[in-house]
Amino acid sequence: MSSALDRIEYTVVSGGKQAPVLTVFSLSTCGFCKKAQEYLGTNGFAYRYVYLDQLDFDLKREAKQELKSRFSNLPVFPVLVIDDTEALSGFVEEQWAERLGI
Amino acid sequence: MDAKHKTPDDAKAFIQAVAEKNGWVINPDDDFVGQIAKGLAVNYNTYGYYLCPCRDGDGVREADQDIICPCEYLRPDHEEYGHCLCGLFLSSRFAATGQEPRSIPERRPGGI
Repeated sequence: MSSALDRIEYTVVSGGKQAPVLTVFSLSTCGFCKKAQEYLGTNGFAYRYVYLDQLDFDLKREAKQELKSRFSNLPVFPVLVIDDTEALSGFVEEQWAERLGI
Repeated sequence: MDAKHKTPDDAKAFIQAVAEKNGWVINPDDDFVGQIAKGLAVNYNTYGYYLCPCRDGDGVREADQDIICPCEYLRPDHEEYGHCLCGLFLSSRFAATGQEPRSIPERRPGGI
């Protein structure tokens, strides 16, 4: 079975900053998720995102399990995956700014 | 229109009523609250109840009972952080500081 995270159809947002490679796992209903994505856009980052709540239920469950097994400590949305190697959970602007060098 | 269908305005009225009943302050950022109201309406129309728009539930009322808005974690979150996980309902003390709500740690076990 292929990775659920690889089977997701992400929406791509273009931006001048192509590195690091950013993926946002969001909920379409969540205020901090929207703020977080706006923050990336405002600061010129290209990224891709998916609204997990809009996925097929089984794919969503699989994707969440994969995320949690790949990255420890993912309590809240949004989840920002950086270069497929680390993840930030929740949008705290100072933390994102520090990690992304903004 | 289906009588059970909720619009974002319905959700805003719900938010207002809950805040008034409990003496909480609604986040003063209208755009932010609008996004949450829209999310609450989407969740109501999907699941049949106002599932917290900042969490992903099971879609079954019994399993999601603790995260139906206003959620069970709101009061301890008000005590510790001054607002709920969504940043929607603020304690009057927090509201008086003028600080902007931000993502806070999740009390609910299990993570995303």
